[in-house]
Amino acid sequence: MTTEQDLVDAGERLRQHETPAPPPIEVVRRHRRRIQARQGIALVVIGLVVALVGVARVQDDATPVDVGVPSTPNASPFEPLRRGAVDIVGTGSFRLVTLPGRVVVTSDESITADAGFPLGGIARRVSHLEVKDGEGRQFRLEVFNDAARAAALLAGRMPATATAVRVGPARDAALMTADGWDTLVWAYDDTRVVAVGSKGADAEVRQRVAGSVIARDRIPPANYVAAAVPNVAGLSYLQAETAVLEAGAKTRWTVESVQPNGGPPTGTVLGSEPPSGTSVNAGDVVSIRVASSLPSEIQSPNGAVVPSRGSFMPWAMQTRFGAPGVAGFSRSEELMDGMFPGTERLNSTYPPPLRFIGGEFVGFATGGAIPLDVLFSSAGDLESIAYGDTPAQASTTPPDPSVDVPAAPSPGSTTVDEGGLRLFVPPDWQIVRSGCPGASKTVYVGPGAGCSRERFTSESWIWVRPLPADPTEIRDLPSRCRIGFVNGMPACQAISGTEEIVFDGLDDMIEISNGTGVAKPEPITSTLQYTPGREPVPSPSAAATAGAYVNALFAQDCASLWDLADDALRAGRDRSRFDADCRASLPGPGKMVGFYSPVEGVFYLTVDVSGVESRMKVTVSQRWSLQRRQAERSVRAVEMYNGPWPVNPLDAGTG
Amino acid sequence: MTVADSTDAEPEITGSTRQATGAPTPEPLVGSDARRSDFELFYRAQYAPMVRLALSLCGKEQLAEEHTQEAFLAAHRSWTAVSAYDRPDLWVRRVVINRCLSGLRRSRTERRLVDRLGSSARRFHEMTPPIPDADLWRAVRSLPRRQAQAVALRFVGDLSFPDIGHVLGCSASTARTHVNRGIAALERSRANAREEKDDER
Repeated sequence: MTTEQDLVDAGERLRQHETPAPPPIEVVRRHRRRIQARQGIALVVIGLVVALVGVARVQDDATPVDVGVPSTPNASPFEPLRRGAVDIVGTGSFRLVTLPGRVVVTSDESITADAGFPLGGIARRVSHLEVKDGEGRQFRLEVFNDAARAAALLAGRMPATATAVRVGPARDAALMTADGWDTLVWAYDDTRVVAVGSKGADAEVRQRVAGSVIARDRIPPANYVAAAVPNVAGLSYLQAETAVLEAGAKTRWTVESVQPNGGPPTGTVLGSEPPSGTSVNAGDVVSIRVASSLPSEIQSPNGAVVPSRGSFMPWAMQTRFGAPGVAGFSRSEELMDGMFPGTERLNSTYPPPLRFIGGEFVGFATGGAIPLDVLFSSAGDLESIAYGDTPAQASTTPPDPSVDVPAAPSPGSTTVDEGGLRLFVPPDWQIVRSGCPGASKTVYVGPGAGCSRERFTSESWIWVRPLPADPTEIRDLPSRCRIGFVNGMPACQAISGTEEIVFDGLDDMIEISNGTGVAKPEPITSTLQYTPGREPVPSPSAAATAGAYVNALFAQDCASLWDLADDALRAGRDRSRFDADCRASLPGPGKMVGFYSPVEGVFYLTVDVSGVESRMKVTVSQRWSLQRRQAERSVRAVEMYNGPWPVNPLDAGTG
Repeated sequence: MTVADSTDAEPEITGSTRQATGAPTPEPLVGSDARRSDFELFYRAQYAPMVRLALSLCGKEQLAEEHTQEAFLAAHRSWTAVSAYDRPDLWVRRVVINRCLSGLRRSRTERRLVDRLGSSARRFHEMTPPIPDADLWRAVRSLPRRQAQAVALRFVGDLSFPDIGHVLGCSASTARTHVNRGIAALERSRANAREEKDDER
């Protein structure tokens, strides 16, 4: 029996279905009036309650206001996100969790006054928020209004390179309102300022900001899914690194000496262990054998296995493979603008100076004389540590940083305290503080290093350790959390292992706007890439559908939406109504339907347009792009969600 | 946005419906009694079919009645104009189907409001006796809106494609396309369900 015949029969049965007799129309009218009256009364009551709460908040700043309660039923299509409806998934290096407990705004004070802005200068501060999370931790939000700064930010002239907004306990953040943007959200930490745009400038938006703090914790590699080791033979070490990282694994480097003539070029990858095609868990280490033509005595006697994270990276290896220079590493992960996080730029042939972020720095000089420049700002704060730009002649017996890293500074070292740092200078090195022409804030250390930067030939280790004495208290030393990110995390947070970020409208991924406002579909179309081993929804077609859906919706391409709807239905992905009537669905000018992503994970949202409520399940993943040197987030799937909202375990029982 | 796309608003009582149905200029009704009598007849004749149509798109009898009554109230308010149509029932059908597919959310809001007041009216929403072929109609409701409306109008309302087009504000061929697409989608859905059931065995 065909479906059509079934429908005919069912329609006939329904037509035979008994229905109640129609009530008199006057009765219907009275009934509807009663309903409407009750609605009116309810709205009045709710309005009074809201007004009373507002009055109470003005009178008593300490009265918590639950930000999880929407002020109006249709306040926002992002409603579910406000309570952190993020499923915990282990799809990358980190997992998303909401902070336990409810977040409340304990104070929302309007203060219109000039105040110091994080990047310096004075800006108009208009509000001050005190927020408390479920564990009683307090943090602050400052709201600034400064159109010029906002314009500069939007024009890319401000350091808005990050994707995460850091707001958390004992941290500061700033919201900014500006012309053309309802809300700009600034989060700052010392010199780092991050900003993203959001819509809405009222108190509710600010509360949503405050209520959207989540933490990102590391998860062990064992939770990752398996991937195959790529074939890296014949590639350059950088290409091999890229391929292995793309597969979700980590790299180690094994130097293998080859004949200078006739052998593979220096730096060429000879193979890997385990070999290509082997299944490994994402996060496992793949050892890559690299050819080197340097004399064997420079190689480590035991093969010089160099870990790729937290110590040596290809730049350091390049030094070892090629020209003499400097290699070394920072105990904390050193970061530079435009560089792969977690790497150091320790090759003296690489022009930009090394910037010191935090933790200890241990470096050594190979191949000759490299003066160490420690640069301080006019305020006396450390700005950078750099090796000089003069590579010297190769030495015969440089230390091997992969195996010979000393556990402590050389005995007899001289200590120099400067700019919050303690330099452990080897006994035979000289120190020149200031006083050199044109470099009044520079400290030179090195054998024979003076203002003339004479070359020297001995090698040794130099240690730099932050002051005060306990170097592990990194978070307590503000000058050490500077610009830089590790796997998308601010460096200082990576060191501590926890990141606080804000989502829910602040971490922009997708905005769909009708008319005014901003629209950014590009990240969808450009980053829909399948990453083996990190794919929460192992279906490239789902990702393509997501991108096509978003773009079609944005473009109001109803025909495409129709097709997508049919495809989705056919594939069984869309188990609920997939309203493809896009022209009717998009809101009017000035309103926005869309969704924002957290960094990575699965989240659920309700889009409430023209009174029709649609629920979506959106899967987002994040990966690191070696080419772009930045994190890329991808929408993996946008599915119509047909179940109850998931209860976050951390939220359960708290509210 | 066309009138047929409107989720809450009543269709405009001008233009296409009147022209499309080829309605002659109606004779003016004389006096309120005549109008009331006219409406009563129409109401009593069309109430049950409208409820059944709404039932297929709402799934719950109380909701279906509610939307039907609201639609007739709207017709009653504008009866002078609505009654001038050749087929005023098509106008009411349009109101009913639009309200049904936008009604879920509104009914939730109403229920919350009413519940807060502690009214006994909450019972109004809670009783949900089964309807014939409930699974099939649930599948119909999962279709895209226009397809669901077209299928319901075709198989419950027993309308022709031109009439469906009048209700939906589209051409007869488009209405046919909606119906055919809806049927095809239902077939795929049922085939998938059968496969899943076979797999489970």
